Amino acid sequence: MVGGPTQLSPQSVSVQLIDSSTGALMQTWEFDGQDRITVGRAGEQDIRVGDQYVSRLHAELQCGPDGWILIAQGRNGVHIDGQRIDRARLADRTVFRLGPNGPALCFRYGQAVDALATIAEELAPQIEFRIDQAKCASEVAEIIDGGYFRDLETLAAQLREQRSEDSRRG
Amino acid sequence: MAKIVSTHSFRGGTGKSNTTANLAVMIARAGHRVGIVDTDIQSPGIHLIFRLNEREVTRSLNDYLWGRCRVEEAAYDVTDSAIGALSGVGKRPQLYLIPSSLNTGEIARILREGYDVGKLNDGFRELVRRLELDYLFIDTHPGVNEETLLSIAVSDVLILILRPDHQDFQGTSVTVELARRLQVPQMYLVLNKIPPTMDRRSLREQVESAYGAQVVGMLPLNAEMASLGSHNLFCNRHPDHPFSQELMCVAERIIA
Repeated sequence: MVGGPTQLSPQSVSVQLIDSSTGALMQTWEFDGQDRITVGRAGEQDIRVGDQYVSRLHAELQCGPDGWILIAQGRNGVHIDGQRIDRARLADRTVFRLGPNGPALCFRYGQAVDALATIAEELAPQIEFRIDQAKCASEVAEIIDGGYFRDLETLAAQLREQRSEDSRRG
Repeated sequence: MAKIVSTHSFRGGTGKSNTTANLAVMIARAGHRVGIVDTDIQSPGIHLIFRLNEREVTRSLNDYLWGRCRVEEAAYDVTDSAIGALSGVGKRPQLYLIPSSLNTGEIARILREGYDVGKLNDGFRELVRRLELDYLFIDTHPGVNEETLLSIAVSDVLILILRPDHQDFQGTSVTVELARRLQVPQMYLVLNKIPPTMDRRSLREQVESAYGAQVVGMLPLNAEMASLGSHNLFCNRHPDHPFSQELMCVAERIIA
């Protein structure tokens, strides 16, 4: 659902996954009334990032009396502005990386309700790939039926033989 | 015997040239003599990664194909710039690049008149012999045409690069089938530009099951590669980056 800015309770926060090559928003997680958010590769984490360089539990976000803090847990650390941190206070729009070159996440106070976030979440790429076998077979047939391909099959065998001979001669 | 390694993708923009260039550097750095031929004559690009500019490229693959020079005369020794001095390597690494012409007139001539694909194959053999290569990488033109098929046909190893993308997935199925018919001894798949949200295990399983071929590299989409703008070697700039580490695994498979 797409809407304008929303009035929210202080503990309402969101975390956005940023496409590191384009800076585009890829996925948003929203939390309301939760005082601990876990980030990691394991399925049980609140924010699951399926990257091999992300630890099963990589970081924790905790809400304290002075606001939200980030606590690093993973082997590859958490980086803010290129610096590895163990613990840091989170301001609105703080960007942190899971590992020195890992996925980037942006922390937001309030829920990031905008068209881009909604679309991005819907497009979170858990894609199922399928091959149209009939189309593939038809395209392959078109190529191999040509005289060039038949000649090439013969040539390929000859070429390998020639190269083996080159190699034997040194 | 030298290994001929072709890198191919069904569509453009898969990161084929960057992958080829970095793999070649990694293998050369391990103490091998390596050559790279840019057979993407219609849209040459790998020279940029090695920072060769138009003024420096006085001979190209096109000159060889038109009979204006011997193929080894179009080979540029890029060892120092790409690898630098190495200690502790028994055999001195050597890296050569045979670029395609950057001249638009030359590119237009190829498109207009074509060339003798058989001569291209002779050139591969000559390069291996004259430069005493251990590995010859062929950076192919995307899609399927005569020179691409020839490059696949003469390969000992075919690296097919694809993104997690429906069009790449479908198109690659055709190339896989053609490579099987041409009896390429080893065919490996490299997935590139994998978004961080994607389930890597499921992706690998889907791809390996669909093609019946092994995925030897899963390269993450990353900002650092985009920032380089194909104007430098990623593995030199970011040696510890997950992309470089994963690519090293691919290099090890080629050497094995």
